[in-house]
Amino acid sequence: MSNPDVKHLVPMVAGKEMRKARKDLRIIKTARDQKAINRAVENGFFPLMKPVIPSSEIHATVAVYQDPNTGHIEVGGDFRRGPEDYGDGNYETVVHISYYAYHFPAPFAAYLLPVGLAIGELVILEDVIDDIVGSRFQGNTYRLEKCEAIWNGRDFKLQIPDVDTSRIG
Amino acid sequence: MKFNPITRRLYTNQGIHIKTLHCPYSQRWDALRQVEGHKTRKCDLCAKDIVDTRGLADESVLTLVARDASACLKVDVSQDNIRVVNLE
Repeated sequence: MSNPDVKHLVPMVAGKEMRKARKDLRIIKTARDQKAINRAVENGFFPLMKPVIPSSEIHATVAVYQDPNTGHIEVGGDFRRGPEDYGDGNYETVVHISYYAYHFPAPFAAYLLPVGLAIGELVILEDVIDDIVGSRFQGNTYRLEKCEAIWNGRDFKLQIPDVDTSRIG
Repeated sequence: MKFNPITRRLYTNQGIHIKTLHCPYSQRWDALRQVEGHKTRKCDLCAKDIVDTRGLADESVLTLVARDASACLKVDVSQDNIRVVNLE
């Protein structure tokens, strides 16, 4: 895993050149169960195993509004709307809970290291395993999904960006 | 529109799935080059125009994606035309 590959070393360039250089970054995939990890091994990757540990800093809020007459419920997660916006305005908040909203198939996962990954290489982690706050809205905190990272020969040093409320795709 | 930041799924207010947002390069809106006179920004990594959905009607976004399934969108959870859903 320490075979130097000049093309993928951390680009010491800025601005437009940096944007061009980012296109050349390798994308490191994540496998989230035994079958997927072993399939990757058969295809020449080495799995860098990690535990999947939910962080108490990651949480989303859900409110349940109920019509007291019929029992019908509506579920909300955006508090720019409240119970008064449902039905004839007679709905009431019956549940308001903050919870860990992510689901993963196993309590472990692996970054799939490609052959020739060089020490100091800047890559993109397509599916970050660590629970890191990537965005905040109305008190909700969402996971950082993707992130640039530098391979140090043993692990990735994540280049954690500022929190951002927008998504692209 | 409704957007789930956990699954990154974008829906119309009627619950029709528009698109699941995915960018392999973890591009950020602030880092993209603005296209003068347009609501789009240029992504130099995949040479696509990214459409800002702020202020757009559900039908416009649905039509855009129906015409080009690989159309790239930008959604901000604080937009007035977005309702966040944390559960589907």
